[in-house]
Amino acid sequence: MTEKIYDEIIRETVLKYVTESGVTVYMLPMKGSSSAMAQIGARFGSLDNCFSVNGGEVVNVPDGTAHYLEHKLFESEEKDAFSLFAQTGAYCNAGTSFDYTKYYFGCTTNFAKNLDILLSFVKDPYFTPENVEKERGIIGQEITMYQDNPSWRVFLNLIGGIYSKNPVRNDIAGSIESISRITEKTLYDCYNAFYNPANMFLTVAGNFNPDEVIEVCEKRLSGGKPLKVTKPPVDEPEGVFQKKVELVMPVAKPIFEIGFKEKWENPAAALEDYVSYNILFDSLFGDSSDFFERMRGRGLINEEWSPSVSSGRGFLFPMLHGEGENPEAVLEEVQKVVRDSKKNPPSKAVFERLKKSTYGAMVKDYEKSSSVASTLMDAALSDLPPCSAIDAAAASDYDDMLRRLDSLDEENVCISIVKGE
Amino acid sequence: MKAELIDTIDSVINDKSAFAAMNAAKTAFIGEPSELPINGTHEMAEKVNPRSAYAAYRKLLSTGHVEIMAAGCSDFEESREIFTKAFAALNRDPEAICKPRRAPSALKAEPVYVTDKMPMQQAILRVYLKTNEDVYRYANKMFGVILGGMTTSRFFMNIREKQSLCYYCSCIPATISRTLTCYAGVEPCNIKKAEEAMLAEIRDISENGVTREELECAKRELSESYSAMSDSASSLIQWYMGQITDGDFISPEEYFGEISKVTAEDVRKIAAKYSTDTVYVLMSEDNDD
Repeated sequence: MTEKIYDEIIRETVLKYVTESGVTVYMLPMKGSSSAMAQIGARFGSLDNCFSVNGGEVVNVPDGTAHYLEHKLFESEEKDAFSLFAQTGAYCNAGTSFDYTKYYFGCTTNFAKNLDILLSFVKDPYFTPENVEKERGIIGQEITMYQDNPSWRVFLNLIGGIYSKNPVRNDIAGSIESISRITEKTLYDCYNAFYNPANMFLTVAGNFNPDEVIEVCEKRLSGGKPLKVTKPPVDEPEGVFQKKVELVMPVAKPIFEIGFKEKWENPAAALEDYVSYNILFDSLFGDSSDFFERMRGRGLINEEWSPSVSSGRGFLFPMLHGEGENPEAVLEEVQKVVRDSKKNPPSKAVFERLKKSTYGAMVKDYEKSSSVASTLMDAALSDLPPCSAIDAAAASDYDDMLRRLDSLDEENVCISIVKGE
Repeated sequence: MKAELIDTIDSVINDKSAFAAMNAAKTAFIGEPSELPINGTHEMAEKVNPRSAYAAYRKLLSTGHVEIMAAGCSDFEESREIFTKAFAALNRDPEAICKPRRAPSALKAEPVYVTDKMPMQQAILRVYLKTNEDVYRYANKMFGVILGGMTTSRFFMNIREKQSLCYYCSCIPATISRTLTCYAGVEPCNIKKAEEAMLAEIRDISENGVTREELECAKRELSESYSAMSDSASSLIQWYMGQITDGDFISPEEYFGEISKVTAEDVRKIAAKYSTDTVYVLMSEDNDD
């Protein structure tokens, strides 16, 4: 039975279907689109390094396991997924983040065949000591590539400075040491726990036939029992772990990030926080703010400056990214702006302008099948209604932003700096 | 603004791949415009002053070849009127872009090997191959896709998946300059192996050709990507912007029409034309050459 979910804001109808095995499928046919994208996602990311299934024994796995598993899932005994997708010409890829793993393809023809390929590989893991060992060198190279990237290092160090216990502080791909401990048993244990129907979602957008999707899903996603996977609670203190983290590596000018530690309550509240903090930080520190004009005029920041909000399952921090010779001076100015703004907040007119900008950016996400499929997946993984992000942006009001400004603690921040010798 | 331009130029060092490409170009394209970084050098930027910047701006308005692209749900009549009015106020004498656009880069008599060092963990390898002969544009594109431009390419399947030598290994053919650039991130101990593996794949294609399956897979992948372009106004604009320097102003569908005529023998002939020109390595100071 397919449920139709009409969204008033984007005026589209998302179709929701739950397979017999319990996998939830969200579909948005897009008239006029020549392409379609399908994504299958599991609520399993780098921060899921400790878990129990149905209240059983707690299992600890090495950092980087979710990412390692993602690398291996496109292999089978006979062929790999890339070779099969090459027969149809579809574009395919996968990715792991802190709190999820996604596998996806995009195509203009042979959609049902491509979906069949995607689901058959994700449902049939094939891990052997040999193929796991072969991947270690490749993933090792990926880890060292990111180790050489100052933008990634400054961000990871920021997270490590904000959180002392939350496993979001660990590198998504793990370390050379941690991946050396991953075996085919580790991968099977995690696959069996997390790749279960209650923890997986399929999203489809673009030019496709929903009946075909349902037919392929029932064929490929049968079997498997819904399992309840839980994580032991993390006793993360309210305050940041470190006020400052520094790293020396070759960069032209110091790059830095400032993160404000905020509380993550639940997915719905976090989404509202995400929208309101985005608008707030844009108004205080964005391109059109006095702050940006002043700091740029003084040469303390340059056009690399950007405010944003990082959020996921169990973590939330509005942040600022910049480049300049005196990051500490910028931090002081940022803290002063927060203090002063509590007495003299941004006007409602500014809020409305930036709300439109935030909303407009989200409307653009509905232009292409790839971004629609991603947006549907983000909502599904958080157990939120399919168009919840744009709905939250539309519903956001000035008082929401002022509440976030009031609760913002300019002392509960971490600054992460990467500088040259 | 000058300080920010200098920041942008200097910050290339933050991206090791871009830094390697910039340094490699100094040798691979020595004496040619391509040897220069895209934003110019730090020294060039230092010399800019308000008078010289304004003069350059006036020259650009007067002699620059201007292309305006628009795509989306409009007939753009209003936009056309606005642009026409704005440019009519200027004295213009635009320089013509030569068609066909060719700027071949001369193949060196002997390959040149360059190694730069800096604090880093992974090494970056860039191998430049060139030819002094004309290249059939569409076969060149297909060669690039089969060699290192798709997920079942020779580089991906043989160098990354089978030999586990790298996380990324790819290539870009450039018909204008008759250059093939191959690049990979590798462990320092595997630099030579990776270089030899890249050249072995090119040699294999030049001697034995490509399989029918490889040719068909490459065509299918390109067909899919060109078909999807019409879903996005920005993709279409990007496509046509790229056509300006190619010399032929054709649609993605027309382009694919030419691609579909490419044969396995065309691809083999292209591979056989290329010879090694420059091998560049960026690696850690702690490693031996």
